[in-house]
Amino acid sequence: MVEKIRKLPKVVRKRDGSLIDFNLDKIERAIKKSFESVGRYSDDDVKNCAIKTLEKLAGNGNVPSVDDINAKALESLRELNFTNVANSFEDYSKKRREVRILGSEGHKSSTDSFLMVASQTDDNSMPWNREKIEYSLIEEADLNLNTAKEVAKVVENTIVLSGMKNVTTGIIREFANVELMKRGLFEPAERYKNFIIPKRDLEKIIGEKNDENSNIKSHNPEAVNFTISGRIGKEYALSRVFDGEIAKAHSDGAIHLHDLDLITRVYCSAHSLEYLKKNRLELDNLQTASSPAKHTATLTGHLNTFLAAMQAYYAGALGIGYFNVMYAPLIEGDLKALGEKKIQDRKSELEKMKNKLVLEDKIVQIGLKKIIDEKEKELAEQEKNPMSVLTDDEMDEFMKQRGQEVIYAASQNAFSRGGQTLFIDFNIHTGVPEYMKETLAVLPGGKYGIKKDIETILLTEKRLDIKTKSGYSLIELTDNSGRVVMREKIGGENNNELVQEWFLEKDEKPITYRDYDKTSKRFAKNLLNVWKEGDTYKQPFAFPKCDLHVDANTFKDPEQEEILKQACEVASHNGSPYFIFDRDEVSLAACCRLRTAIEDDYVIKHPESMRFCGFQNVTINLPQAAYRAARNGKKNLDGFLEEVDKTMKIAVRAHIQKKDYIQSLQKPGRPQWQTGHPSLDGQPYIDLNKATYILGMIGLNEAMEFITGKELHEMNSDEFKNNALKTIAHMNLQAKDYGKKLNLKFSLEESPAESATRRLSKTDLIKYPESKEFIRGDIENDKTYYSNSIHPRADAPIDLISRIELQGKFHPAIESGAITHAFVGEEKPDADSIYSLVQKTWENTQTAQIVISPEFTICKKCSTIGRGLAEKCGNCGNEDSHSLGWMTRVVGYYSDPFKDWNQSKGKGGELTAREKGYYSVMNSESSKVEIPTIKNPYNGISLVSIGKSNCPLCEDFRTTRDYNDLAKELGKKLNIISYEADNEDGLVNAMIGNVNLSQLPALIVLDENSNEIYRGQTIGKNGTTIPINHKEVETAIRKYYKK
Amino acid sequence: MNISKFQKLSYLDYPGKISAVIFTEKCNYRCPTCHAKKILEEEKNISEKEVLHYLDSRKDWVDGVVICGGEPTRELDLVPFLEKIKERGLSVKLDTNGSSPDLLRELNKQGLVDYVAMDVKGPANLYAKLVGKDFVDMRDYVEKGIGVVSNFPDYEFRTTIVPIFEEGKMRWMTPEEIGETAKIISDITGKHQPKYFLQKFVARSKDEMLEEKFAKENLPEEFWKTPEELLEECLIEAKKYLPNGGIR
Repeated sequence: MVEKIRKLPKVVRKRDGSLIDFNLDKIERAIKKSFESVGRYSDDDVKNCAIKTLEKLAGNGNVPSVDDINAKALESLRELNFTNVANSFEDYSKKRREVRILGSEGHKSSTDSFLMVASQTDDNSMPWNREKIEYSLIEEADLNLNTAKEVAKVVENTIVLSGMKNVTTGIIREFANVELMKRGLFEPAERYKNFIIPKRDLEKIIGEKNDENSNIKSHNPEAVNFTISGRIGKEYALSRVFDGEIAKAHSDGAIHLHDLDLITRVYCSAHSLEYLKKNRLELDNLQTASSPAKHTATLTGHLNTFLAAMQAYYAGALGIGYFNVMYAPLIEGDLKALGEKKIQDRKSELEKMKNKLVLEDKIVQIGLKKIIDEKEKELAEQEKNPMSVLTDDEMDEFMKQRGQEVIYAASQNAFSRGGQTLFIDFNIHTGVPEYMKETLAVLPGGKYGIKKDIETILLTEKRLDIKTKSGYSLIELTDNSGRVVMREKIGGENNNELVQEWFLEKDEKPITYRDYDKTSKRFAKNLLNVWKEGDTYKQPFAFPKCDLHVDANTFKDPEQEEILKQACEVASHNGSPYFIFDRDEVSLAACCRLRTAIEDDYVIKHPESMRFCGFQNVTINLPQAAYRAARNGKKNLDGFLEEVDKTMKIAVRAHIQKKDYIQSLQKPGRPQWQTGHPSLDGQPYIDLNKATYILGMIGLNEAMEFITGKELHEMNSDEFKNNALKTIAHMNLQAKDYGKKLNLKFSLEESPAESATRRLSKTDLIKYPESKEFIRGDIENDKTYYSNSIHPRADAPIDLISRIELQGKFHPAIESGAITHAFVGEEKPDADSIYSLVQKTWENTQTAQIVISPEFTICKKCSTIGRGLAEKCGNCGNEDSHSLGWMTRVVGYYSDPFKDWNQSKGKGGELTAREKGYYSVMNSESSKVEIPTIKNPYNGISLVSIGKSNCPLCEDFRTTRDYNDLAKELGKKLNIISYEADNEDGLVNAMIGNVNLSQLPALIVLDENSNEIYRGQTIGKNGTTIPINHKEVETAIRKYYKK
Repeated sequence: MNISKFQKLSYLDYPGKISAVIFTEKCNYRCPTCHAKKILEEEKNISEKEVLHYLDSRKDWVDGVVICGGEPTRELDLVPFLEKIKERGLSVKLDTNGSSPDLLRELNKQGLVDYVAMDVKGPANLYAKLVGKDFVDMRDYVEKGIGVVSNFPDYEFRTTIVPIFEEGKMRWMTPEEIGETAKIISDITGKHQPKYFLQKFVARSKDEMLEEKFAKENLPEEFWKTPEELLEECLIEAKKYLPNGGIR
């Protein structure tokens, strides 16, 4: 038909006067748009109208203008009775004219700025400018000029046609994105992506709409900001930081990337008070800097500011190491001042007495003078050691005040992260650890010092040009005359020791932490009392957590034992202390600490450089790996481990991708610059090459049930070893392997599975319906979960001791954090019985951490706390769930009783299940739990030796004694099995045998009934190694045969 | 041994120990406020063998055994059973009403019990009411019991402050009555100044309470739990004679 129309114009005059080719399609498109804007239409309608328009344009001989064409099109529409379309077309043209006029004249003074564009980033509005859209499409979406122009034009048309009055850059982008996707330009669309929150969601976040349960932590404007930014951060993370495969693995629930909403932060951390004490408080975001603290209260102030500032860089916990030890020098400084004041006061009193003396008669004078002289002598002595004039009560009172200051401050640090209180750990030691006794103490004012007789001489520190491989500087110390008192150098057999050479005169002695043992202990006791008392309502402090460290010396030193006993009393009272078992002697002599050995030694001598960063936690969904294995036709352990391997690989890649991302943020002007630039000790505060990359796990119990048909507590010894332990050993070795290959530290952690467990179980229910049988909780009411990490099911009918033993088997392989909860419900356990439990857990297992968790019901109405979880306040009868809260531990810390904790953990979920699991009552039907143990598969005694490959000590041990001659002599069978803990088989046997992996080589002697006759481990102590005594082994064997 | 219930693990029944708790079936008293109805009536018959097997498997953890019930001294083979437990190096705590002074003496002589906790129900004039039986020379037994108990290596006395049904009405024990009880103990034990604990009464449901009248369903709310103030007042009276101890 079109062909019939002869003499169609060849060119069209544009508004700017230039000529372009006459284009039929353009006209058709314009007409089509008008039809579209009105509603339904047929392609024939459009065609007819277009043809009519063309007919009108034909044969004129003139060059039509754009306006001419539009006029003809309009006529055609009206003639064909498409009135609505014609009106729309006319409106559009009118508006286009207005745009042109307004645009070319700048903005009108009219307040009707319907085509002003409000920018989302500036606060200004600017006039409409299509070129800006074109430009951004080219820049961001990487389009070519023509496509950019086209898309921009479409956007402009759409917006103008719509009659929208308020246009934002956000809306413009949305239209542009849609157009890109319509055209199939998905990659550019991804690059041009908008991260948006629906209005409804925003309202839920703010709390205007109460219809559904929103997951806000606490209602305040900070929380609103925090949640909003988190929503966007999460999407951004999955779009920009992690690649498609990883993002998919996360949404499919194969893994869980923790703290996605805080993508610009790292995970958890430990910090050193020494750093603050030595270096002063100076942070990028502060306008002022403080010099190193001289007083305890000042240090607390510095610490608070520091924590509040540092939390911005971390998503998780902030720990402070050697808390009571490092405070000690400042406490003593303050006590000394108190003592001096007391002495001064006494002196003044004596002066007064002296003055009054002259008024007395001669005989009294002589007597009194004698007393005064004696007192003066006494005071002179006391001045040499001012602390000695203080009574125990006075010292305790002082430390109690300081303890309260710092614990309250840390517990009420609720200014960021949405107004939540920070996750803070204070690590308390029962005494100065052996390996720290020779460490120079940082004194008030930030300097080291030596004691010359009773005088303290502060030393000046100078950095030498010598550095260790990772860049730590060696130092030199001088007194105020410039005399070199100490100089450091690298020494030792393998150049792995930091040697401190002293040049001391008579009566001079370096001040080390050994000198602060007593004060550290006293401070620990006073801190424990603060934790015991709780807050003003007697509510236990959820944070800061009290991490009480126990090592071999705790049970040998009566003073340390006393502190542990006191901690057990606090545990019995309100469950505050977490008992952390330090099973490895932190000393170079312990076997196999060969990686960065000098760094180990440096950090112990310079604890200001001792800081730790857990970079990120990526949790592996173990049950899902099991379902996938089954779907691959491999529903067995090997198939399962294959899937676990695949998932671990993805997890490791996720770590690397985030590492690269954070690295890019550790540049000037970027958000992690504070942690990336050299800190006050010359090293970056967070060195990504020294961080630990954490791999968590969830649901081993359900995975095992799926694969083997048995849950953890139902397995016999062999099943447990060959399935459960094997899985974790396998993961541990994989992690180490990745560590070697990538030269980073990867390690396993028991994921604190709060929201993760709910999301993963929920996702699995949808994608893997076969999971229904194995998922815990209430499916109907959406309170589902998987068992935490390697824990048995919450309501499994096994007693506490069985749980402790069973879980303890896994702990050596889970190096970044494992914990066993002793839930005691409403009972108040006897403090000494708790001590017994802690001590036996230390001795009988390799448990890394144990905490006693009583439960409380807190009534805000009458301000009372009752034990147990009650529906009604025991004191005033209050039943209102808003003022009656439950305080219990569901993951790793006490939940806030009045906040809406994650559904699956609350009633109906794991908490309810746990109530049933308390039971320790035996009736004849209760299950007997066989606690897995190392087995003797042989006839006769077996000697099980566990070591590591390529370890000279282990080699040595194996070759120095050949027990065959003893066997011959006794005429008995002595079977020798050697395992290496760096392969799966060896590691599994070490785990099941409760072997301390930091004390290898180890030797266990078993009789044919698998009873232990002898157990020995290699102990590193104070720089030396105490090997297993072969004589003792022989004696034990002989003794056994005598019986 | 007739074992009605066996609790594998307790960290509050034997201070300082991680203990297993054995409940025996028989009892010569019928205290109306007793919670142990289920234990007294059911014939669970958990075997000694099971119990000993458990204790052996847990020898690295459980270091104490508590025998209560019921009244353990009514068991005929208590002595051989405790011998077997002692053989294993475990500590033994015995909860008793003290009415078998001869057996107790024997147990002490053989060193079979390390800690005795004796219930002294109340003052002499209330005893019959408190234990639900009319005894002749009951006072004699109880006082003898107190004397024998005080010779054990470690021991304590305790009284639960319970409600009493008297003249058609329910009332609590009074501080004076507690004082009298403490005096009786103090007179017998002399300068030993033994530990004396006052315990809270908590009403349970009727399938647990021996006497229905004292079940939660039938008691007015004021008698569901011993009031704090009453406990404090009783303690003051008790401390006049026995300064060691407190409220549990």
